Amino acid sequence: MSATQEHDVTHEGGHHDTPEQRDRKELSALVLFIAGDAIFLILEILAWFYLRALDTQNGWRFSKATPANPATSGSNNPHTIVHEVAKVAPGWTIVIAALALIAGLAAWWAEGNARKGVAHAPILAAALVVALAGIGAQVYQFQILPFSTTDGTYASMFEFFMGSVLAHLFLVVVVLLGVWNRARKGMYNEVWYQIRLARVWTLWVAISGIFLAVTAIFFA
Amino acid sequence: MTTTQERRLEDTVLGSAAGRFYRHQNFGTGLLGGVGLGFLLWLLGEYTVNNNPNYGTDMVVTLTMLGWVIGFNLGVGTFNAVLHWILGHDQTKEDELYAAGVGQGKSRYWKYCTDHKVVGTQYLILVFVLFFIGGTLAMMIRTQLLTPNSSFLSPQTYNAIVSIHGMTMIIATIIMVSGPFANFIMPIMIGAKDMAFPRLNAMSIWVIVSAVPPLMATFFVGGVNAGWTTYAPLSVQDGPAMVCFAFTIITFVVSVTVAGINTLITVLTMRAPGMTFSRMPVFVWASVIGGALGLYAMPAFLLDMTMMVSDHATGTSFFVSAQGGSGWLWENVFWIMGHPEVYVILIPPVGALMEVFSTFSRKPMFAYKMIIGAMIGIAGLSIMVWAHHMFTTGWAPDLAGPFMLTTELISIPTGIIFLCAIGTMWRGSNWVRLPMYFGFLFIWNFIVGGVTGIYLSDVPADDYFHGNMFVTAHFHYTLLGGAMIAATAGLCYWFPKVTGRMLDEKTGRAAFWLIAIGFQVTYLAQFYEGFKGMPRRVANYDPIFAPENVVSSIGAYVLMAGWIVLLYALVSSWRSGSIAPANPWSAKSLEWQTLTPVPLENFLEDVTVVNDAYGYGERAELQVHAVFGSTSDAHHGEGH
Amino acid sequence: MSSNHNHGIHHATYQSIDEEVAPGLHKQLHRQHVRGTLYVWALLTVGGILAGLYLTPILMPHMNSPEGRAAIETVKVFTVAAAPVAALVCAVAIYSLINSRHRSHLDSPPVDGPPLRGNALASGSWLVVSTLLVVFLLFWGLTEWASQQVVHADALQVNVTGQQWLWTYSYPAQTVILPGGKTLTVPKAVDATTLDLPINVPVQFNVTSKDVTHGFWPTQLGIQGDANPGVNDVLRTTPDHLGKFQVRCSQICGLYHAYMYTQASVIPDSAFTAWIAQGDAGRVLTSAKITGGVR
Repeated sequence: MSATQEHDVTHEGGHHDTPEQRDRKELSALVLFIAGDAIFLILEILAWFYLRALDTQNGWRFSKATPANPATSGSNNPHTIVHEVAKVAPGWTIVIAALALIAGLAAWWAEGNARKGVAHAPILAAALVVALAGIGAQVYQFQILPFSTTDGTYASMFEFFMGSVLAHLFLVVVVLLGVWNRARKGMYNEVWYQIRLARVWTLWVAISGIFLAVTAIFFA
Repeated sequence: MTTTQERRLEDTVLGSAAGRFYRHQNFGTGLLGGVGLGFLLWLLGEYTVNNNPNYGTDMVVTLTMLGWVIGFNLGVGTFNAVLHWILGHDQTKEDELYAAGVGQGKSRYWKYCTDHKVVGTQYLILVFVLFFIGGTLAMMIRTQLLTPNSSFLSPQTYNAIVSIHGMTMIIATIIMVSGPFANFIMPIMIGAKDMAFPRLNAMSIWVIVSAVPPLMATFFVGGVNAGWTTYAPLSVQDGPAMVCFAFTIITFVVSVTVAGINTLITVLTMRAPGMTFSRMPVFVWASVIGGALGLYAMPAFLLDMTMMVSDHATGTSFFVSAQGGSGWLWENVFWIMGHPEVYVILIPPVGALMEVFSTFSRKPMFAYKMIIGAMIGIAGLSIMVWAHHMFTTGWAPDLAGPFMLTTELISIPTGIIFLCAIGTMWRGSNWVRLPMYFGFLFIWNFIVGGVTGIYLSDVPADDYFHGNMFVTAHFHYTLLGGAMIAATAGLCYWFPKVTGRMLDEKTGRAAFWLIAIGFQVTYLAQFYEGFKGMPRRVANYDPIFAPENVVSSIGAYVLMAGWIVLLYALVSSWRSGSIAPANPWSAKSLEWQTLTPVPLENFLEDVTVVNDAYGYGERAELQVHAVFGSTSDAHHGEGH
Repeated sequence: MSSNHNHGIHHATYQSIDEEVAPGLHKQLHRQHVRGTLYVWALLTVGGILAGLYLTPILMPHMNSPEGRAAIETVKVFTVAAAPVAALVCAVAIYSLINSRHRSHLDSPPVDGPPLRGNALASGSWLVVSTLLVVFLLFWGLTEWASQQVVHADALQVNVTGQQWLWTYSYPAQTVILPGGKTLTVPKAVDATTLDLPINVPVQFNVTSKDVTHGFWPTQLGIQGDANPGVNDVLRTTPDHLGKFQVRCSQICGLYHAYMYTQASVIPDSAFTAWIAQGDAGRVLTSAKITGGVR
């Protein structure tokens, strides 16, 4: 195609931009997306504190009252036992936030390497594996929770936080999968700004995960 | 560009790698994918999680809806770009041009298409469809309310219709300007070749299309009982319809977020040289502010709705007070979304209307900086007023004062909109074409809506008016009489540019009078119902309210007739109206300076903006908004 | 310059016309415009004020409490306050429509309007006036609201319970010392499905719900509060006019929301005492009947 035609017909989703322009656009978009996600995070944490402060009908960490002796007293017995919902031990919550952080730092390292023009695909592969491990850990935590979703609002909020982390980690995995695969094909040897986007996103997920973990651990 | 050149291009594009699967994806394959995956996940749910007596059904419906949304978008091609990116197969230039719709004629409107003008048109058609659905539901409501003890609809159907009428209209009004015009017109206005992210743009329309069927599905799974605000715990008590409803919103949130980011980045990075912020048309500002406000509001919507799905499908208790939850959580988060959202609806149409006023009054925008300040002020204040919806809910009575303050403060920037409107038309050469008709109607309606709004902002008065027909009439005056009429003005204004045809003005004016009169009759009667004390959202009512309900219903029929006449005018003009010149209104902004129909990438030459777009009546050099042509001018010379 | 745009064609500028006429004429024209608009404005303002003052009491029902009358007063006062501003907007719009209108529908006006890009005086006074109005609205609202927050030392307790789709009013056994020193006694707890209130006795409603959120709206008392499950919402008023009205549910609460209303009346306190003492067998429902089980 001649230069003339090329000017007339290019419609390539911004591909006539230089990599610098694309970098700027996509980074700005990512920052806006993170801003929206931050509002979600803030509201999520506010919901936690709001329900905890309200503690409607003692429902924050107390599951439904059960009759003292159903066999003899029936359901109208005023003497009932109220079960306290167990707090989650902080172990796995911290591990998951830490895994997200490690994945983000690895992506940062890979970005630095790509900048210098040295090997970065293996580091991205490692980041991907760590993020996948985070998902695995989160799924495992669901299995070992000392309560179920129906045990009051503490249980509800805690599982909601876990679900939120899981969804974010899923997006991290999608992004890292793409970045790693493209790095593997050598597509970031010269233009590496997408690694930076992946790093920013992964680190944000780690930060939001830390906020959720702090809330869930210290304000049960 | 000559025809031969075009043909050659089309051949290259169509010939390259023809027959690949994703080139055959369209709305049909989307439906197939959605129904297919939805069915598969339904089957999976039936055999795995349906055993739970409390929330098994809701879980199955959740899975089915998830299947529908993902399947539809896979089928229609929404995720193609993401998948290509992950696989490292970047699209060839031919593929990209194919995705932009080159050489596909009208069929590109049924496809995932990255041309912002196609996306804008798709949005426009979707908005028509949604308004038609919502309007039909409204007619059913008014028919039910013709007589006090009507049994035209069962209470359950009535509630379902009220809820879905509300949400359909909210969705339609949110996208009615930011969809069609912020996509089609706004990039041209700033001299851009496309939106910043054409693929995200195409994604936003198809994601929102996939959100509509779940909303309609609610009718077939028990109906939503709780109104469009779906206050908990009533909505938790509802059946699986509420899950469908929530899925609509979750999907919608994805679309609005993506579209909002796209609008913002487009304006931030794609403006033509010389298009400084202080030269940007008011509509561009309005789109940006609306988009930014949407970005703030949508996460709250997402949070509320995911919690709702969770309460339904997993048995959590965010909104169930017997297990520690609270309806106030729902109400707060809902209105933290809900009040900014009102201005997400209102600001873009107002921006469009200001363009109309300036163009047809043949005068510069009056107090340009003030109106932009006002829109930013409205947006800023609107995030601090949410609890005025909750004055009577018992939540934080001590905050009544502060929220009364913020709510009444918002009337200052809103007043500036009026100041700028009347300042612009003051002593102008007012050319009263169809867009201006709707402009004047907006002014009247929005005055009524605004004044009744200040009654409602006052807590002692709200203690009488809350939850009654007065509120219904008030927000219809602002959102239908205000925003939607302003959007209609914008539609009539940009119709020649979007469709390439002139709108049949005679039929349009007939429609206008039906709409204007029908609207006043309908909602003034509802104000009267509210004054007298008729509650909202009731299927039957005390016979003392009978006369005004009859009047209101008759008004509503006239109003609907007006919209149908307008729709007829739009459709018939679109099909066979007279061919529109490039600039039928002698307007100055950039979208009128390019060809009609607008070519791919909008301008044949490079654009340099030298003044703002409002140089009416100014010295000759200030009248020029932009100059065209650049180094590539010589190449174009060959084509002409 | 190429053919895809027509910015080359300029309309006659306002100045070019302006220069042809005497400067004095221009000023005179301006004054004429202002005067014409002011006439329309005055007419509309008077209309708006009259409507606010005389239409509001006709449109709204008779109210049985100070809170109810406050709602009517607010509508009156706000309409009067808003009338001049609303009238100005309408006046300019109407005047522009009639007097500065380009008559041809087909062609764009040959002459543009004057390039007025703002007017510090107009914008400034607009801002000042609208700010003052907001301050006034807020002052009015807060004053009224504060006057409604007065807690009487002793008030008749009425427990209001909403459930799908009926209201229950229970009057616990109590002795209320009225402001005048008299007492009002409810000897034993009474549950009723209609709301009866003695005149001039401060009432405290304790509103809650058994299932979903309902809206407790004793219409002509001018108060309203949601009945939230698990929450006690307190509302206060002092009915001071005899009369009958309805309590309606103002929050959609499911299938028969429309039918969730009950009769309410403000009755002389002698009648109230007589009724509450005997417990009208026809009207009183025990809570056992309502819940269908043993308490």
